Amino acid sequence: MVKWTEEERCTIREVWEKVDVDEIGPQILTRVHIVYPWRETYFGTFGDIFTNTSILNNPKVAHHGKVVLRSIDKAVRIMDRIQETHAALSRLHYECVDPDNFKLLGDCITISIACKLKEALNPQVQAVWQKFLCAVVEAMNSQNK
Amino acid sequence: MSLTAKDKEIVKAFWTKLAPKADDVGADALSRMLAVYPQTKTYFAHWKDLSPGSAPVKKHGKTIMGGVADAVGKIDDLTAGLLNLSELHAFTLRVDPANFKILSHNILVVLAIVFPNEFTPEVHVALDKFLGALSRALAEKYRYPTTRSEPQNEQHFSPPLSISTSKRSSMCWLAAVGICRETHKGTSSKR
Repeated sequence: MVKWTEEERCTIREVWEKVDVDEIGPQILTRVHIVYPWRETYFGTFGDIFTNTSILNNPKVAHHGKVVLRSIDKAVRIMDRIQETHAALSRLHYECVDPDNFKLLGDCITISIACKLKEALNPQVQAVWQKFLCAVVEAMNSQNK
Repeated sequence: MSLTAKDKEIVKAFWTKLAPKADDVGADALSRMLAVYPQTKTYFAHWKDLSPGSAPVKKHGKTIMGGVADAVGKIDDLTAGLLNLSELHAFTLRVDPANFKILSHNILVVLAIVFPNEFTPEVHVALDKFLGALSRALAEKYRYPTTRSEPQNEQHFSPPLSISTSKRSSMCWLAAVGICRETHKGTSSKR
């Protein structure tokens, strides 16, 4: 289980308070699909996700981005039990999704948040945020072991 | 994943915006790498101060972005253009190439902060591809026969002295495994 200091908890919550799930969620997933296009393999039911324009205008991509961020919201609210709260999600993705993709998604989450928070995401804040994302990624891979 | 003509156009166009702020971007990216991925500090143990924005960090950030600027100018043939830099990293600095990706990610984070509107997904993918190609060019010389006379089918590995003894031991073991695998290539084996 990951241990958090009170300062780290505050830092993560302060970052998360500035994130609007409806605004940032779609941005994250469009970024993932454009920057890492091989992820299309997992979204066969999403329709046209084969050009940048179609990705940017695809409502299923936007919706799934919000779904992803709502799971992050859960992790922020229950930081001490991330593995437990994400066990079902991990089982859902188990054997379907290459575990490396969660790290790529994490990188795009950081970059989208960087666009929003700008200098507020200083190196110290980024370090704590990265620790949190690593905990979420580990939870998503927990059922692979 | 090679760079298309459009990727190169995007990288060069973005570089003209980035160039005036390159020193600050380099310093910030390096600060973040050291703070967020503390294992990278091992390569800078000789610095007096590794804190974000310190003098050595600023100076080296500027050096790094000088290398990136050079790479932008040689974007049509990064492998040939960065041979000397690759030799420096392979034989003198002995940086594990895995760290190039870590630094690249932090450069992208800083670009997102400094250019939030311009750092669109299309620009992001072009720059990610460019930094990936740059990293591969930097790693080009890592398993290259040197000018010393050595049989080409042997792998030689000597870990840098700055790494702890226990880490060097495990690195030597990994290198030995690599040599054993190379020797037994084609032989079926089970774990």
